[in-house]
Amino acid sequence: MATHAYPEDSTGRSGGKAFTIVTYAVQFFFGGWFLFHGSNYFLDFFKQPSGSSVLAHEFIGALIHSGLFDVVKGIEVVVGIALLANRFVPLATVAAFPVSFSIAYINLVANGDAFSVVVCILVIGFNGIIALGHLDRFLPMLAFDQGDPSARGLAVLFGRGTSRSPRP
Amino acid sequence: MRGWIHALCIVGGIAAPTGLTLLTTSSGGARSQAHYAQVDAAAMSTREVMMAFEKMAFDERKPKEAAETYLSPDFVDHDPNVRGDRASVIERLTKLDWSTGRPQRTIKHMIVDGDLVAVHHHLIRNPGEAGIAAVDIFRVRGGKLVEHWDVMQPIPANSINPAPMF
Repeated sequence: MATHAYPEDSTGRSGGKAFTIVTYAVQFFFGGWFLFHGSNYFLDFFKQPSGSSVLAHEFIGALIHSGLFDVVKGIEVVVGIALLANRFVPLATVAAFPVSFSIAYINLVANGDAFSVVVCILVIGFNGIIALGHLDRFLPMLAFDQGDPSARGLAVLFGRGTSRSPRP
Repeated sequence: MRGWIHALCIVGGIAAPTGLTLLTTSSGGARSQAHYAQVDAAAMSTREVMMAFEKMAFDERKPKEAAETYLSPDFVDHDPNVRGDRASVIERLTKLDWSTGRPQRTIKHMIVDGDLVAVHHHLIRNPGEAGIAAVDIFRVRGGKLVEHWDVMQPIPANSINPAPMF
């Protein structure tokens, strides 16, 4: 799978213009959404909801009391800034997935009303669309036979190698 | 992406979800303040519901509001002095003269077991009287009082027991 060839457009990336526009629209909406709700937790400029059901209330309460909610909201802020800045988007997309999954799960399982189902679909859908827009970045992860671990990635990271050099 | 387009996207990206959040949390939205207040109430523990009712009814002297807020619509009272439904309890509470500082209720003990709470208290209904040693038992569900039982023992003027009733 990792050796698949892609048709490229003028920017060197694959895909049509409409898909690019849709992905960008979703990316900026999703980034704004995460930044708004993430920063609100720390700055409290908007009344923080305490959960839309008793179970969600207890779940969020446990996250807050354990301190894990600080981490979750911190990730939301960083992801939101990255998506709005249009930088590190593939990394931000991956980092957002656990948060998106948790939001979707709690909306679907703990709340379950129509509004929550819509939120569940949107958060997973948005995160998924952004991921699809950068799927070529993730395809190497789908290697079935990944070979032996090596320091090649570290060498590339620190500018001493090339990502295109084949694995031994 | 050009700079000005990027700037517009950032503004739109922040404005759109912010606007949607304000819309859904407005009074007519699916996530209104009333919705969250309802969730907060339903998430209250048995003790918290009991204390909230107590505070509003006796401390703030608002028995009708307390009953309307914390008594479930299908509330059942086993007190033989009332018909037993929610309306009859509200009717009984509002008939009392709350302006004299009575009835006064001093909680001595509170025991919670799951959805049941037993309140052992000293109740004085009229000024000057010794009052009643009472136990009210409530069942709490979804942030509301749903059922009530009570046992009452008038405090006698003279007792052969050297230990006080409280």
